[in-house]
Amino acid sequence: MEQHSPPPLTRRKFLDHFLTGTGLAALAGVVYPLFRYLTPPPQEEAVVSSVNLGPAKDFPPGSGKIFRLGSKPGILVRGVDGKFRAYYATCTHLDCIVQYDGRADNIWCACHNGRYDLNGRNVSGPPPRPLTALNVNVLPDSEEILITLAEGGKG
Amino acid sequence: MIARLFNWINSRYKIEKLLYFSREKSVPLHRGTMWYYFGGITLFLFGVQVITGLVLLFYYRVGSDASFESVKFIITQVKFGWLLRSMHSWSANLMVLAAIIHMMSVFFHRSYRKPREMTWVTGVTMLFLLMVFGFSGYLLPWNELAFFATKVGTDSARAIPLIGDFLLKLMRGGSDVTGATLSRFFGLHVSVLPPIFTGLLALHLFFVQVQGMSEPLESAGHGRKRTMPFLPDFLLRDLMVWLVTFDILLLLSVFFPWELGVKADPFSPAPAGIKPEWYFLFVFQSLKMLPAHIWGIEGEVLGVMVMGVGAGVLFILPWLDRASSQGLRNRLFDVIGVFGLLYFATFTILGYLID
Amino acid sequence: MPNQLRIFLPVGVAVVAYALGAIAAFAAAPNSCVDCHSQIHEQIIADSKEDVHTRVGLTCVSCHGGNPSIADEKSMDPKEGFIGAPKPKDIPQFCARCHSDPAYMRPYNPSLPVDQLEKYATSRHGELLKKGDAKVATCISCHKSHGILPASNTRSSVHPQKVPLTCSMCHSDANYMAEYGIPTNQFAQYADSTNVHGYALFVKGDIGAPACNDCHSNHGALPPGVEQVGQVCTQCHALNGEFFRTSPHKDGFDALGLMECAFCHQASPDLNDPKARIHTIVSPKHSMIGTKEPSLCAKCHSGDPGAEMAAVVSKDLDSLEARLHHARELLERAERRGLEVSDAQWKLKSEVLQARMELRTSIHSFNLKQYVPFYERADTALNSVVIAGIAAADETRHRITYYIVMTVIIALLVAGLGLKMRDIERSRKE
Repeated sequence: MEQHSPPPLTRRKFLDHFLTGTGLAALAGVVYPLFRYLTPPPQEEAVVSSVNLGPAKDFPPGSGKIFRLGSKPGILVRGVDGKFRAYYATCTHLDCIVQYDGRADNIWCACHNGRYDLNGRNVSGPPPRPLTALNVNVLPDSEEILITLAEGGKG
Repeated sequence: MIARLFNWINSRYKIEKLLYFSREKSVPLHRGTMWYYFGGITLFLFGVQVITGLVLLFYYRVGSDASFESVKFIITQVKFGWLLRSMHSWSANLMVLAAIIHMMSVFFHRSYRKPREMTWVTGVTMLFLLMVFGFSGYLLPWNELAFFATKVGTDSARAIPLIGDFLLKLMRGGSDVTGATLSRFFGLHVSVLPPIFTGLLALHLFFVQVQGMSEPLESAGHGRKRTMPFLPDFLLRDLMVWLVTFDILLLLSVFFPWELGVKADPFSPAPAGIKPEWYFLFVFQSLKMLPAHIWGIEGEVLGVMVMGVGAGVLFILPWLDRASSQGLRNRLFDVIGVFGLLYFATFTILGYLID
Repeated sequence: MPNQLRIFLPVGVAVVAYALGAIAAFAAAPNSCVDCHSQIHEQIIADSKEDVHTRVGLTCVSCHGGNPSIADEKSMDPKEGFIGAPKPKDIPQFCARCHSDPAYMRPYNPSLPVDQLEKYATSRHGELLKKGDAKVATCISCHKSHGILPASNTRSSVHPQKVPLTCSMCHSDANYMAEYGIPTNQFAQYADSTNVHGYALFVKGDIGAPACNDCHSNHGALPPGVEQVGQVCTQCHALNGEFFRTSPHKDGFDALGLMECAFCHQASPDLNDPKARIHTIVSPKHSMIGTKEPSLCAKCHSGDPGAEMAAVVSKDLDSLEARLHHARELLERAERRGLEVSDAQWKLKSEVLQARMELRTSIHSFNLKQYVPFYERADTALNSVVIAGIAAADETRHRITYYIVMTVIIALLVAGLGLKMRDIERSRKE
């Protein structure tokens, strides 16, 4: 080892600093994504088999609301009888989205005037099949509406 | 500072011995030295798997109604979730590839010969475990491709004589691929395999440290050995290779993120072009191309039996190739190796070409 | 498989047993009709075996009278109540003996209407029959005589998908129809692949799509009058009808004697012959609206408020379509790069497309004030999707930036390590 020639020494020193610098940078480049990953995202967990639609009192008798469940639209209807019912909202005719029709107190598709009764049964117009039902639960404490997939929930 | 820390530890645990040992450690230099890196690459990728796998567990949820959604959640809602998930998938594939290359180099260098038989056996066991890792991990996102690939994959167990049906049910947790299968695969993937694999890996590395690195038949025992110190020369080179590997991993993950696809729907018909992971493709293709009956035995049964025998031969290879432990090269094993490699390559390519 | 078996097996067994039972009853009863007629009327006997009437236990005698327990021709004595085969002019009455009798029909099929004869009398077919024209359609022309199947059976001549073919048996036969002086191109027009309804019915298998009877009625078949066409269409296209009825076009069309919906929506509308291609209703295109050919608006409007609205709507629809295309491309590109954009895709599907459908419907108000809010809703929904698409493109850029930064760092580090290695090796040699 040549202890007395300064140039290689400074070069070596520079190299060491350079290595430390880039090494730390690389470490930061790895740790940063991990850190961001572990920071909880705004929506805290993936929920798809149920959806909370808020307080039941927001839905007076004779009203309906479209909501999203997973990748499909759903509809919550509260007929004039005050009962809550929920279905997948895609019309069984040509996949339009159905809506609650307050005048007739039933479910109506605007595309071809198809109608379903409040039990989801196709009663007039072109729809060939009833709507697929979902479960409506009113949470005991908060009186909130929770929609869940019906048993064996397949459309 | 570092010196004081070293002294503090050393006065209690005598780690200087380790240091002496690693200073002594050297790597033989010869035409095939570059192949030594593949063991290191495999090890590095295992590290990547452990870290990415652990953090994925923070958000992953198992269940036919939660798995797909949670993986989707990871790659859409969680910052850098896409990166970690893609890295885990890509790294798994690169790891199998690196392990196969590592094994081929060991094979053609006859490094499995006495006294390293057990290093070989632990290595081969780990390769098979890796495949089980891959097979079980593939299903965990519960997407359509994985669902049907698992269905087809587990179905070939049926061909195993006597215990086939039982094995099939054992793997699937029932007669069909369902959420029960998912639970089993998840348990296998994250809590059964990792400790076994880690133990084997420790043993494998321990053997290598105790016996040193093997030299090829030709250069072993003749004249002065050319070597390179492990510390720091080889380790530095290892480090560089790892960094390059890491960058390749990033490249793949950023530009070719692992697709999630659509959620598995057990009631939908199987989509066209269902293929297993590439390292299973040659098995899949071979079984597919076998005639229905050979010598009165069902083709698939025979195929599975031949594959089983092949795997068994791989395990006891060090004891079959007696010549190599006497420093002789048995050309027959080169022929077998090349044939095996060609077979693997041909049927993998066929698997991709033929629908 | 076992599950399906569990369901289908009992059903299958029941159906087969029922069918076998019916056939056995038909064949086994001492029945001189079948004994004699099996030779001369082989086809009739064969058809009758699957006839809906046979299945509920009726026999030859139920319709034709006579006494089957007598083994010779005396069984067909009018004294035994024998009626025989009715003449065409008597067929409606022949069937109506049961089908117009609610009390008789109730035990067999309580929900089946019993007003077919009444309706038939009001149909063009019925009117002509009354005048002694034996060529017109009676019950059996459409329903057949001995192999009558319910409309729900896909092999039935009155199944929704078979109705157009059944009608066309006569109505597409130029010779047969010659003396009536009406066109015979209805089926050709209806079955044309550009006819949305025919395409839906035949190709897409949508049995909710209107066949002949849905516009012309079944038993009371008659073409709807010019004023009533709109009524018929709005059975399904209700919202369009609601908008149209309050639109300035309503009075205008009535005054000109144009058929509301059908005039614009038939293939190649012709002011001189408003019914030229009325049975081919084409899928509406945005090019139908505007101030220049091939726009339909331009046929009547230029330099008036109608032309103004046409210009606005045409521009809006084009812009909406272009941006929709752009949004789809952005999302597709993002998906190809492995980004998850299913939220935006969902919004596109459930909100934008729904809003576009409603927007298109609102055009039928032919009133800018009514139309604009619908445009704004579609526009807002679409913009949010485009923004999501652009955000996805940004995200791709961030990812690439991250990769480049990491690659530079790694390259520098590897280069540094390489130099370090050389230093170590060199200093060791020295």
